[in-house]
Amino acid sequence: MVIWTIAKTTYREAMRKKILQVFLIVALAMIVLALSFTQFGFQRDMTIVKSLGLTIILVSGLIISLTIGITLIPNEVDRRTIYTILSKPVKRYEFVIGKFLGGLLTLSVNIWLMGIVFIVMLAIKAALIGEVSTGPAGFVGDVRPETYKVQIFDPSMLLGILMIYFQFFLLSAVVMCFSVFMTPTVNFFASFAVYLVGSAAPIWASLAADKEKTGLLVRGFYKVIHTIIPNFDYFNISNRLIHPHHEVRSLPLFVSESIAYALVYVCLLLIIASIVFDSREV
Amino acid sequence: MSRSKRLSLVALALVLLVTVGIIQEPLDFLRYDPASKSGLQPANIIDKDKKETSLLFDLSLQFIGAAAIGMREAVASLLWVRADEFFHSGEYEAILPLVRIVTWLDPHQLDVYSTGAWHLDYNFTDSEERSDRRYIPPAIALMREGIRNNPEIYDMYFDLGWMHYLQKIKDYDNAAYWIGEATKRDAKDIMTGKTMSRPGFVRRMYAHACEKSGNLDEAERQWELALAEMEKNLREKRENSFYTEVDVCKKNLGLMCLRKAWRYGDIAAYERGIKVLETLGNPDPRQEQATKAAKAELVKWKAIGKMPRDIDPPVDAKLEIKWKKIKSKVILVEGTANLLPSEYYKNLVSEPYTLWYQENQQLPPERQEKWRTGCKLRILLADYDYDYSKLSDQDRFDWEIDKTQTVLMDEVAIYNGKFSIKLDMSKDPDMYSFSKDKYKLVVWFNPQDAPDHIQDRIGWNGEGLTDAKYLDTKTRPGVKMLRAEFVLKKSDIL
Repeated sequence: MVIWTIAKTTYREAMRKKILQVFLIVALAMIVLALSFTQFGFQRDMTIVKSLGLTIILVSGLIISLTIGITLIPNEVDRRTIYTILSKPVKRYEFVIGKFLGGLLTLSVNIWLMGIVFIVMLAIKAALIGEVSTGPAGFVGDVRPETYKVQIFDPSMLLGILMIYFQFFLLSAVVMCFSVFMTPTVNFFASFAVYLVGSAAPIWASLAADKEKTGLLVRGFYKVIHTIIPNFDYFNISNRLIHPHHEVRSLPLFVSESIAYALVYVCLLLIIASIVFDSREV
Repeated sequence: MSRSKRLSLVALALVLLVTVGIIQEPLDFLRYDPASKSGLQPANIIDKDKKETSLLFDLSLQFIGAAAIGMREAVASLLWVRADEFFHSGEYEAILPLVRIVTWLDPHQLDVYSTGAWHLDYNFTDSEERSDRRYIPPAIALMREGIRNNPEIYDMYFDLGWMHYLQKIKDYDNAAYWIGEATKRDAKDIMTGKTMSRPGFVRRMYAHACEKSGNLDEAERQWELALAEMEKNLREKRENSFYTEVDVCKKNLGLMCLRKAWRYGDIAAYERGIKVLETLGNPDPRQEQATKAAKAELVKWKAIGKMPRDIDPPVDAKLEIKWKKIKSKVILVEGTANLLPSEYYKNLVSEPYTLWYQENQQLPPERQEKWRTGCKLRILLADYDYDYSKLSDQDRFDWEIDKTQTVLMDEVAIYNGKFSIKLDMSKDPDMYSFSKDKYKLVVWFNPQDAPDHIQDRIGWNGEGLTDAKYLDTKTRPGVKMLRAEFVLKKSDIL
């Protein structure tokens, strides 16, 4: 109950932030504008529009996670409101979890709002097109392009937004964990660095597996980086979703395992944050 | 927090850390290991053959950064927009690195492979619009990379077979192979990935490719399958366009059977052909009349029990070829060929159907065709060690071509029994560097390249063709072609 009260207060406070509202409006406008892209014909345009839409949601999600998360606890300390809260029967871990959930709620509302607008806009674009032709263009004789009706609702985009959401669910926990002992500016850069390193996981995985070019020690170093740093690359599956012709036999398994990975990692980070916050002199 | 509580939390954190490691193992396998075949990662990042791993490190930081934070497809799409701008401004060379980067960032953008390979095959030309053949191996390598990355759908297979092997290289065996592979795969809806029926033209082009490569039984079988597919579509969907598709298949199948009969004396094929043509849904009056005439002929041949072959007696091509240097890097190739006097069409078995000879004779003398048009000779002037049969050998897409290599390919039409072509290579030193000491000039006529009306007299594979000097049965086993090869020294050209 206490946790939920803190979460609600945090959410209301975060949603009032002007900068957040500006990000949201700009992102929504960019999604709508991206749909006006018509240059190469339906198939290519849809690829561009889908990839741009998902990227806008991704970048906005990144900025929102960072800007919300870095101030959650330091603001309470700076404004000394934390003393009032902790003087009540509120345990420190409850405070940490409540703050995290508040931030998460804000993130959820923003990402899903962008997501819904994106999916509706895609459906409108598909409905306006109606039919597309298949087959290489410009053929003559017996090679005539054939037309078929486009599916208006693309469920794979929902999965794309879900994976983006879990990516920033995990990043929010990283930011939260750092925020108990770092200043907002340091936290911003540290969290962003973790995000970049974690997103470049294919590179570390590649180097850790390259027995021909790298020695045991170097491989071990990359293996440690690959294991310890949260792997944000697991959640970047937009390529499969933008090109549904590419069959992936194990996608449901991969998605569920990735979500399990995020949940376990978030629990781990919240425990670390609680321990550190508990030992901190406030 | 009490000490014991804190210790239990630390222990729990350690347990969770171990759990993270345990979950990571199967995830890494699905995500990064090519053996999982999940395809969640662009195949070229971690490649067991080590063919492409270094590519990641060749890219500039902004691409790695963009790719790393999940904007791979957006960056690829925007780069492709840039490539389009380069194309329209004529900066063709600049497109090639973009093709490489875009296909690396997003290996499932099919049109980047198709357009990139088409660009390589067709758009690099000399001053006389002859394409630079040195770009064909990278074009094929790019298409094969597209197939490796998108093996489940028909698109890339068809494009490689049709656009490159059939249209550009005129290698009908490879064209039939790759289009045949396309017929084994379905199409996918671009929005949802749901399996859809493949466009009808894929099987029709496979039938054409089989016919071109001389595999007539398979061609007939494919036309029958194409017809069955279209009839099924017509029954199920009742769309007007399928009436046309059904007639297209029937006309091609029927005519191919008749040609088998005319050219090779196959009465059974004649019977099959007539049977199919009689069921045409919407024949024009001329077609109806032609079918009736052919049917009357069939009755006649059946009564006798055998029929003559239009490829008999063989046409003596009497090919004569001369070449000479006009000035430095300008070679004139000229000669004569007995391909193909109109008289050779008199009394053909196919005549009651085609009526070509009769109608030609009825024209005023000045408008009568004395020779049938459509025979073309192909010409290759290249380094002596250049092997035209090894165009598919390049393993990996790399647009850096050997600039010291000289390859020119052109074709010349035989008109009124004569041909003449001037190969001017003086204006394009980048394409024709002549760095080697020895060259070859190859001139050939492949009956498989010839149009239908020429094949009506000499057969699909040149069975009705002969020549005292240049008949060649070794280059393409099973095909009687004409081929002359001359060895040139550098001084013969420069």
